[in-house]
Amino acid sequence: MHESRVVVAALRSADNGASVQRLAQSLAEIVALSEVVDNRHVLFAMKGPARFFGGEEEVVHRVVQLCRRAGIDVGVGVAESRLAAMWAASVAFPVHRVPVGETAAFLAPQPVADLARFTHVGSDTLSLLSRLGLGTIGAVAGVPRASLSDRFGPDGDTLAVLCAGGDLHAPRFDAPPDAEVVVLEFDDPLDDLDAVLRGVADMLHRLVDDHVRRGLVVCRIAVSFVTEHDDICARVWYHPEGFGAGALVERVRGQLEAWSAVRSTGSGVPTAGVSRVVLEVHDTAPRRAHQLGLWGGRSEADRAAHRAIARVRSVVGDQRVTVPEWRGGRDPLRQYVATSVALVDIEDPATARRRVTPGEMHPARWNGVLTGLAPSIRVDPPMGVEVLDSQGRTVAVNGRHLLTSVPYRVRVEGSTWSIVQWWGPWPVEERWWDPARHRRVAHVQCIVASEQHEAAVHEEAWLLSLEQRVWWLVGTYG
Amino acid sequence: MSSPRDSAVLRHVREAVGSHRYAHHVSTLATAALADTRALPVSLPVDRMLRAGLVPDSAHGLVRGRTYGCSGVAMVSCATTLLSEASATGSWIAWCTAVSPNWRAMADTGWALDRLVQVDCDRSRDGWTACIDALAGEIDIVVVDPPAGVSVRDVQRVIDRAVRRGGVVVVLASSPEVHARLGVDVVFDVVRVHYVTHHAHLAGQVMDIRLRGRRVPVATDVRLEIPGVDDA
Repeated sequence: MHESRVVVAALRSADNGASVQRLAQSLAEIVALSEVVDNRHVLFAMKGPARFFGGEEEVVHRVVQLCRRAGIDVGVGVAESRLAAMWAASVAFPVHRVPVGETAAFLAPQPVADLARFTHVGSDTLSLLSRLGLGTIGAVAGVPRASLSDRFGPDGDTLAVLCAGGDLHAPRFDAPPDAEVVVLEFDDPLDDLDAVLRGVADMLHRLVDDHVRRGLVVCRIAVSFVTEHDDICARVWYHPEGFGAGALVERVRGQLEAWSAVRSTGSGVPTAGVSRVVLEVHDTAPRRAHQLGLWGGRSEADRAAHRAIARVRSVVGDQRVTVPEWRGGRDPLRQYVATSVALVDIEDPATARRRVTPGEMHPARWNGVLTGLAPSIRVDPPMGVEVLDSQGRTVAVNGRHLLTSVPYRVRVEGSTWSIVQWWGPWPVEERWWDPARHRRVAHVQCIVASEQHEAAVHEEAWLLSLEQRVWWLVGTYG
Repeated sequence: MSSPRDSAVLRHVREAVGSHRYAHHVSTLATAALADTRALPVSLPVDRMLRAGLVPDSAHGLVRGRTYGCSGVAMVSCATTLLSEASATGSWIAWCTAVSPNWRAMADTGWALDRLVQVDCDRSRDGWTACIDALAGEIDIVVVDPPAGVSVRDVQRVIDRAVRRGGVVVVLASSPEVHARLGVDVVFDVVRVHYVTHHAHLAGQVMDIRLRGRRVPVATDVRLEIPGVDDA
C-alpha cells in the first residue's frame, strides 16, 4: 500500500532556501534520504518510514511534531505523485492525505493556472490553456496526449503526464543498479566546509560536463557527505529538466551550509571532519537544445561571457574569479560579498539576478545602515590607522556612542593627514545574539588633506571604523 | 582582422544573401556596421561630458574597439559612473584591477551586478597577459590597471589585441602620464573632487575632470556629479 506513496512537507512561506534546508535537516531524524524539491518543498518516500514507525499516520504525526519542535511552520501532504503530494501539502492544516488510487480525482478540480507554483511548465502555456477553456487539471487530463504534445511541444508532454496523476521521474530513494557513483575521499578529513565544497564543486562540474558530452543532463542526484565518525548528511536533488553545474553546486552549498548551521547550534552533528563525499546519479534525461531569447533569457553576449569566464578560471584558478552576492547587513562595504564563480550558477539569468538583488535571498532593508554615498573602494585588508585629536591623544567612542574628543589628524603608514571635515560616529552592533560572531563597530566619514602636499592641497574622503579600540581605514571615496 | 564572432555573422549574412548576384560583395562587416551597434550606451551626464569634449562618435556612447582611461583622485568613482549604463543595458564587465571596488557603490549607480565578474589577475608579466587575453573579445568591457612589472609595450600589445576583437578596455591609473604612454583614446582625469553633504553624512560627489587623450582634439574641463542613494 505504501509502495508508491510520497510525503511532502511544505513550508508556509518560502525564503532564500535556508528554511527548507533546516526542514530537510530536521527530517533527517526520521528518514534517511529526503529530496529538496525547491525552496519550499521537501519530499520523501513513505515506504521505509511507514514500515519502521508502523503506518502512515504515525509518520505524518512525527513529521508534524518534529517541525513544531524545530519552530518550522509546515503543511504535510501524502499522495501517490509528487505533484499531488505538493498540492495536498499546500492545502493541508496541518496534514492532508490523498486516499490511495484517488490522486487523479484529487487533482482534477484544481485550477490549471496554479500549476506554475509546482511545476516548470511555462506561464504562457498555462495562460493559453485557461483561455482555451481548459481551466482545470481534469479538463487538461481529458485531452489526448498527442494533441497536447502537438500544440504545446515538451510542455504538452509534461502536462499529459502530470495531469493524469503521474510523475515525469518516479520519486525514488535508492540508487538504481546502474547508477553512476563518484566518490571523493579526503586523506585528511576536512573540518573546513569551504574546502569540502571546493572539491565537490570541481567534481560536479566534471560530472555534468561528462553527461553533456554524452548528450544527457542529470535530473536527479544523491549527494552524501560522510564524516570520519560516520555522521552522514545526504540529500537527493531533482530538477525535471536537468541541472547545470552551477545550479547543482549552489544547491549543494546550501546543503553544506545547513549542516554547518546544525554544528554551530552544538547539537553534535557533524562531530568530525568530512572524509568522504559520494555522488550517485539516479536519473538522467536527453539534453534539449535551447533557443536563444530575443528579449530576456540568455543572449549570445551571455554565452560569450560564460566562455571567457571558463577560460579565465582555467588561467588563474576558481578562487580568483569572483562574483558579487548580496548578503545585506549594516556595513556598506560588506553588503555584497565575493563568491567564487565555481560555487554559483551564472548561466541562468534569473538565478544570477536573484543572487545580487537585495530582498531575494537575504533581506533588503537594514535599519541603521550608513546611508548616502557608499565608498567606491574597499580597502582590503583594512589598514590600521591612528585617529588623534589636537593634543595628540587617541580619539575613541564612549558608551553613549559619542567621540571622546574632536578628530584632528589621521596617521596612516607613516604619513599624516589633517582631518578637514568629519561626520559620525555611526555605531553598529551586529549579531549580538551570537557570541562567536558578535561585532561592535563605529563608522566615521571624514575628508582628509595630505600634509605632505601643502602647495597643491590633496583631499580624499575616507570611511574609518573603530572596532575593539582600534581604528581602521576600511573604504575610500576615490 | 575580424573576430570569430564577426566571422560567424559574416557567414550567416552570406548564407542569407545566397545566390544573389551581389553576394560576393559581402566581404566584411566593418563597413556595414552602424555606429550605434558598435557603441555601448552611457548615462546622460557622461554623454554630456563626451559631447563637451568633442570626442568623435561620442554621440553613441563608448565605442567598441577603443580604450578609455580614468585617473586621479576619484578614478574608481569615475569609472563606475562611466560604465553604469552599459552594465545596466546588458554588457558584461570584467573588473581586473588590484583595487577592490565596493559593489554596493556600483549597484547604487545602476550596475547590473549579475553581469559583473571580478578577476584577481596574477601581477607578473605572463600571468597578467594570459588573464586579460582570456577575457578579451568575449567580455564587452574589461577594466584593467597595468601592473608595474609589465612593460608599456606588453601592456599596449594586450590592450590592442583586446580592442581589435571588439571590446572596450578601461585603464585605471593613478596618473594620466600612464595613459599618455599607452596612447589611450579618451582619458578622464579627475583633478579635484567636491563632496556634497546632507543630514550630516556624505551624500554625493562632484568631480572636476580634465578630458584628454589621443582622440580628444583639445583637453577640456568638464564636471560630473554622482549623487548617493539614501536608504532612509
